Amino acid sequence: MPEMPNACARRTWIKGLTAGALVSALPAARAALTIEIVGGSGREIPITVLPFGNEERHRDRVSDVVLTDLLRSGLFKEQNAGALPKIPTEPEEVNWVTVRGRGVDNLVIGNVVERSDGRLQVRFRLLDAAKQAQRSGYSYTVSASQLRAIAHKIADVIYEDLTGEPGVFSTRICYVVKVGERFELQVADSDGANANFILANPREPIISPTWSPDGSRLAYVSFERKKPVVYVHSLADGSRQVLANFDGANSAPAWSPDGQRLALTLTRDGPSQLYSIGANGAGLTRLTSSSGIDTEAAWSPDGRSILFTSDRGGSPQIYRMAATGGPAERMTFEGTYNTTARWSPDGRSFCFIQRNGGRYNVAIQEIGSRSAQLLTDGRIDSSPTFSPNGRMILYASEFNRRGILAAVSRDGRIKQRLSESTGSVREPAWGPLTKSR
Amino acid sequence: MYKNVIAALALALLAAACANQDVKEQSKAATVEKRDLTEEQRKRDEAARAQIAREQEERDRRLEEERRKAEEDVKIQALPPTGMTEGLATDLRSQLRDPSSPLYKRTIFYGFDQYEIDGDNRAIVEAHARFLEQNPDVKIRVEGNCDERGSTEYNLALGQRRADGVKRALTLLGVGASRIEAVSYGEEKPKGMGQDEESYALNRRSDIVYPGYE
Repeated sequence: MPEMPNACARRTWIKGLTAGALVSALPAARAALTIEIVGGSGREIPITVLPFGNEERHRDRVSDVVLTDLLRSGLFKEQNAGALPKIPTEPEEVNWVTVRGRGVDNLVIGNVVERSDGRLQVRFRLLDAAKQAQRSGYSYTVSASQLRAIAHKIADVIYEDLTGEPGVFSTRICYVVKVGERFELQVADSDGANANFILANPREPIISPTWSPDGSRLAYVSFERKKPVVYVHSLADGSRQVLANFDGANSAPAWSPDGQRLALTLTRDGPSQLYSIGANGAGLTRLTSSSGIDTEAAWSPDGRSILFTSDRGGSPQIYRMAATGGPAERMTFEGTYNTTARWSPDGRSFCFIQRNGGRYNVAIQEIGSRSAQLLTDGRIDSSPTFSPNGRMILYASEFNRRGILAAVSRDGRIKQRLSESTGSVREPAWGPLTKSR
Repeated sequence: MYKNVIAALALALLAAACANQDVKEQSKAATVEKRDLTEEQRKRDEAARAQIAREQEERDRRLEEERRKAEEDVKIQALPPTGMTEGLATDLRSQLRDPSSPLYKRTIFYGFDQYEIDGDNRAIVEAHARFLEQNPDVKIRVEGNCDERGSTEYNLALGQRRADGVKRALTLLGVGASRIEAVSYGEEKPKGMGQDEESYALNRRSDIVYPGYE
């Protein structure tokens, strides 16, 4: 077990802990996003993850991936068990006296067993050292290439057991990387590993990617036809279709929660206005009729209403209306620049971008409240997106004058920076919780 | 032994049959060949004509290229649209490059979150309107842009509003709307790369573009 710095330390380089795993896991090689935690929750849950039996025979060490995931969330701190005479992989092998003596509370043990058919059986247990009892435990049978994915699943189970909310370590993110004049739309695991590009434009921009609710497709805006056109791209086979290519601009796609329709911004009838269209491109309906700019629709999780940005009142502010259109209610009242609203998954609040002096930062506001809480302090933060469990908000920021991704917890206490080794990263979107991968 | 005789007999018969067939084939082939010769001649003539045409084309192309080089035009340009003479196209190209031409300035700048065309910018729009009025076959693009601050999508809409504003001004001056394509690149195509007001001011702009001529 490598010596782990205390997660309370304000700057913990996660990459340093598992450099081997992160780098070697990327044979197809887009540069990895590396993650740095720059804050903690202040009341982290202690966790001890012992090396799994036989895990060292494989490229991805399961216990390393599990522990890295948990620490990256900012909600856990590692409790090092120190050197043990024998590392237990089954509950009956645990010497409870020794373990308690080392101050262990929550203990994770497991092993990786090679079966005769070449597949691997991965077993793990989360044990409560005080009660000397198992909290949860599962066994998975997988191929070697799935070890990393299973480690994320194990981290999800442990996270949910100890925090009461779903883990998001098995989810994926997408974002746009700009290198020189080249734009690439990339999809990666939520820890930045397994990054692959799904679209590359040598010169023309790509903006506003967004996941379908089932995670199978991305809608985005690409300028490859010398103007903004909305596409829907299937991740399974790489096929894609034009969703909207009307006269003028086509942009800001937003999926309805049932995946049947998308709201989007068109200028076909004059100024930028909101419309909705079937996911198959049929049934275009106009939603707003204002003289200003209406854009950046966000469909509420219950499907009933839409938040959007409008400057109908003279400055860009967030408004809410029924998903079928009609009168709109102004939601933001602080400052003269509030844009890019995104609902929290529980539908009780929304995050957005607020101009704060000369800065542009991520803020969060409860539905029904008129005041917002600022969560970030970057120079220009943009494109906020909630994790599917609502705990974190991923957004685009900058560091050393380069576009990077950053994340902040909804209470503002935990902060992370994700950066890519080449190019500028922007326009992130966090994918949905996946059923069973 | 008996078997061998039968086999030899069979072979002989087969050979005879083949010989017989060969003759027929030959006569058939002879008629075919005759036809082929006429066809070949036709093809040869055609190839010769094509070769002459290619050489002619190649000569024309070389001449055109030399002429262009003489004009110091490094870009190979699209052919002028129908109705526009090559002379006029050449004239437009040189006007776009000539700092003393009224068509030289093709960028309109804006203040933060602004889209009005004011002061000197009006004169730029008017100059292009005059040219377009006199040259009804020329089509243009107006590309709206923003600085990087704020929302990507709101900036895209703002860039569109800027481009639409220039388009509207041109149409009010008599240019047909169908000749102007107004598009926005939002904050995606900055000209100034810095993070200061000087760069931002360069990026809040509408560019009038003459596709194929610059």
